[in-house]
Amino acid sequence: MSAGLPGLGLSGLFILLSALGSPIVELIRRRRRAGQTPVRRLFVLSVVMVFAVVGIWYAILPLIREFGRHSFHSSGGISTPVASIPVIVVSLFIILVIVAAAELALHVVTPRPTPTPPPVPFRGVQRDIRHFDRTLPQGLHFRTPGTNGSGSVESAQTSPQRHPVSGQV
Amino acid sequence: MPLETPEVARSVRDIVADLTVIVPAFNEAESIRDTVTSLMNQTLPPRRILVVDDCSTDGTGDVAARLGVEVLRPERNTGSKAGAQTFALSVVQTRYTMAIDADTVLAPNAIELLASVFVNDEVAAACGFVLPRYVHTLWERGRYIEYMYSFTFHKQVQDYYGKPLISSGCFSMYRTDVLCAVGGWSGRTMAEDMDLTWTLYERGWAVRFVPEATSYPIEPANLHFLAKQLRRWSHGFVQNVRLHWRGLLAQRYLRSVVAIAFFDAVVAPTITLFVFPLLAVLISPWFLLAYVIDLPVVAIPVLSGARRRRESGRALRSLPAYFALRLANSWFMFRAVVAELVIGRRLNVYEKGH
Repeated sequence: MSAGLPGLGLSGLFILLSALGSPIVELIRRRRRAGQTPVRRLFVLSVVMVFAVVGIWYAILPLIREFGRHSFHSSGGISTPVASIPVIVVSLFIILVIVAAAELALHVVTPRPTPTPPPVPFRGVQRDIRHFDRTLPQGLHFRTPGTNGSGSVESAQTSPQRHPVSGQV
Repeated sequence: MPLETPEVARSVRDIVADLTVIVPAFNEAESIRDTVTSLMNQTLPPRRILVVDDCSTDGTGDVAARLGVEVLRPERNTGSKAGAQTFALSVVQTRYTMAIDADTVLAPNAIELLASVFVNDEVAAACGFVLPRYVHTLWERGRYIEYMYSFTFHKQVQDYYGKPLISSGCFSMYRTDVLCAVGGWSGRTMAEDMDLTWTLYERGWAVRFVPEATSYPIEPANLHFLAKQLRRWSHGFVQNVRLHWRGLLAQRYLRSVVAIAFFDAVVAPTITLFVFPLLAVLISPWFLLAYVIDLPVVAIPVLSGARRRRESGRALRSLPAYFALRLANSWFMFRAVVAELVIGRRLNVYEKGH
């Protein structure tokens, strides 16, 4: 959740899962010697939140069963087994579908860095702006217009109409 | 967060000594004094403070000038916070630039702590913890909980995975050369901070969140100002997703965070504004419980964060207001989604709230 954005808790659930997974990620990072970050506080917090989620579910389960007996059957719309599927399961399924869709989109759509406005002249001491293109999938690079090599941040955004991957306009 | 070694402490001193703070201001005569004073009273004060008096009519520039800082005044109102900040960026000569809202004050060590992450050469931007300065009205209380929840849990997890969703516009620091190279703060969306953060990720730079560096902006106290702010934020989010989605595909973790947040933000208003009330009327009033069902999940990180700040009482008293604010968020997001994605009416005019 970010301030000002509404939600049904899916973002929160995803972050919760991320926090629960942090000790495993940390273990992998340490094996690769990619730094050490204390994750205990966030992990403990997320575990307590999981207990809260489970606790809430068991607290309201009798209510849901009551709905199933009286309301849903009489309305004829939703059967008890459907109504008693935990919301958390539905939420996890939706998250899984969205994450899978985003991963799939990466293979279907070519990622394209967003064009930026013209640069502002920097009046300070100039230095080389190193260009990190490691975040792009393998084989894709920002391209300096008019050259064959990878460009700087500045050169990559001076030609917003040019396709940054293929170099085509 | 103590600075770990003497070498790091020395580097941080060098960084802050090479820092310019930009304060965009439009009719902020009442608050600019506190902002500038808090900058001057930092444990490590910045080299230069630039107040951009964006053609205020209440003497904001004069107040700032009397405090002894540089005041820039464009010929015409730049039209947005992004415009005022980028106007000032063209005169910045230091290696680091900070942007801070004219209604925001900083904790005394905020700049020192925020600067510490720039010891890492890959970091191009960093932001700190944000909490409302005043917590009195319903909306301020709601925002207090919203910020406490977001900054105590969400943003810290995002930072662990190297992708804080936004480097908050009210208090962030940047490498000036990188900032200049991407054109400064763009006015092409209503959320220039989100636009800039995502652009930096796409260019391969790192963005960090420093929870110990705290800032205190004035948040909207009434619905009039809240509406302006939420209109900007909701339209800004939709505009940025439209603008950046192809670039974000290459960003691991961030693409999932944004995809889920976008789905959630688009679907939630319909469910909360229309489906829950209908179910409550047609089937059972117990469905209204859905509005507060996640109270314990929100309360746990909030109370954890509040306890560390010795504000547990304030957090407990403010919790109910969060649910009112969430309904307001839903309403403005619903309008933004319909306007931007359905009828194609884009929000282009920046209306100042707080």
